[in-house]
Amino acid sequence: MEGIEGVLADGNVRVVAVVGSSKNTGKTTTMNRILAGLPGDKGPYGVLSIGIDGEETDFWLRIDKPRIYVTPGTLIATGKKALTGGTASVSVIDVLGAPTPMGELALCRVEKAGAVLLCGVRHKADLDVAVRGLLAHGAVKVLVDGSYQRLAAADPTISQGVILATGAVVGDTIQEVASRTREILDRLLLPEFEDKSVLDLMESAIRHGAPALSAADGGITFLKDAGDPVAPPETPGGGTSRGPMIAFPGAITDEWLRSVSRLGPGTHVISSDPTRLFASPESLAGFRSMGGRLTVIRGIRLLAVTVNPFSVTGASLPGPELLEAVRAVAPGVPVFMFEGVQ
Amino acid sequence: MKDDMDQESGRGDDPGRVRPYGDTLNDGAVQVSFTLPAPLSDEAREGARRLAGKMGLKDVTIYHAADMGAGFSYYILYGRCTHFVDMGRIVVPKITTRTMTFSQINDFVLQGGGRRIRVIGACTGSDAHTVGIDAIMNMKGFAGNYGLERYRAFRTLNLGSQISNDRLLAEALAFKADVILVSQVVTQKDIHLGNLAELVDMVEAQGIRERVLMVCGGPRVSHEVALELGFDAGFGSGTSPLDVASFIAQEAVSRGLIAKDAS
Repeated sequence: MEGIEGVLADGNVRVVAVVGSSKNTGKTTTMNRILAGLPGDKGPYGVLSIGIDGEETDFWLRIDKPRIYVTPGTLIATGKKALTGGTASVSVIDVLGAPTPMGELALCRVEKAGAVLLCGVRHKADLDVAVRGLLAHGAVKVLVDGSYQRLAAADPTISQGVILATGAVVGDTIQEVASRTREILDRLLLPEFEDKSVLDLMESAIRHGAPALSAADGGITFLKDAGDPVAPPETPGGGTSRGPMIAFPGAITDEWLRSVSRLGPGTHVISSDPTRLFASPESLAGFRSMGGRLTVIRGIRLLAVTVNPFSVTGASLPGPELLEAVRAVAPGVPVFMFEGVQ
Repeated sequence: MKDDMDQESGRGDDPGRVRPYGDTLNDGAVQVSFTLPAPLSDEAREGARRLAGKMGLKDVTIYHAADMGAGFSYYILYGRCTHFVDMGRIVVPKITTRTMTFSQINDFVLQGGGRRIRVIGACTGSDAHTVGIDAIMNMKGFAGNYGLERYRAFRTLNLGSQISNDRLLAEALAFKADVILVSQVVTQKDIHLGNLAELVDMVEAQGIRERVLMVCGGPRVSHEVALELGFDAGFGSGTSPLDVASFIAQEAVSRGLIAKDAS
């Protein structure tokens, strides 16, 4: 396999999320390229979306969208009401009982090749149910089509691999696209903390539903409320060999990071995974400039980046130069360019 | 594989494949009119005909052409549309809850659910237009319908405008919200799409997505877009507080979000 499908060769990678740096970066086209390249005799493959994908027309822009084409044997998860929205012939093999705005979530086997409409899965709980269902019914790989710039599907407890789709839609110049892509990669590639002893701290935080602060003297304090990011902790850290360490399984926002910065220099924040980070690059830079560290329990395995030089606005950027610029901000990661895609 | 939207043959066995109707089924007859920035002339007429052809019309006839002065000309043309749509394959997500009355909603929630539904609302991002969130939440309501603040079934908190997603999440957690209501009026450069997508992921990251109903609204918000973004529902222009209240009540009760508890 020489195309992008080759990045899925590792047998440990069963579930792959295709996420975007924005809407219309080419997530669905990336999915189609992968599906077209995967060896048919090694399947079946499972496909689903965390948004709405496969429709003929973009609900927002009212322009044509790439449909999702599947071959016989492919397994899909979608809301029952969406089954009439494609051209492929499918048979329902299981109903997962998860109610969605598009009817119950159904697992289907494609009998005759064609396009399918994938929708109904809105949040991680539904996604988890659907992925487990597809794997239980024999899918050797599951591809999750992301929605807009949402990264929820990249949660490493669900997806063992992630592909990022980026392109001209996120910037007017090559430099802007590369910069925006680097920001997202910085988020996706937050490093794992090597010392697994922090697992206990994180488990304590999850159990208490609040950030757990481990001070330099080893004592643990639970901050007042996970929803009260400005609550200053009672126990200041610092003054010894390391600064305070704080484990937080929730959303790390600008406000939350600012409040944590008040703990003092050298604060180490440990998150569950990179999909919890929402702080802006500026806030993150400010936090780091004070010696702060941000690491995660479970990191994301980035399999590839795809680049689309065309924007839905009609603008385009020079392909080869854009490809090089994205490669420069994604060292060590395979980067593919798909031309002429939406 | 090319979809069948643009194929010449629209007639056939499938009654779901339709073209515009003129005199006979699927004859594709349409009338279009437009103005060209050119004075009326044989060349301008031919230009109008060719333009209609590029619109997907064939057998084009110019029914009326008139010079409008100042270098413009106006045309009315008939033609036969070469495209068709397959009605059987169109899936449009819709809100399926029924619209109830003010009293029905109060009774439905308080008798059927167990406690008041906590609804937090805000107009998020840089958007300073409170007209949407106020129309739905303020006690006086909109178009003769009380807003959510007036209902016994709801406990509400309207944060107003220019609320960051950070703050909305923090306030929602502190308020123990069952429902997060977001209004987005300003949509230039599609800024609202990024705001809304980020909020959904934040709520997901906080681990409370399953416990809250997420609803968004605004002039350029539709139910389809809302679902695509990961919301539970989206309401566009012309929505009344009753529509939103009915949806919230029925969804919150059916999902068991307001089972009796200490609150």
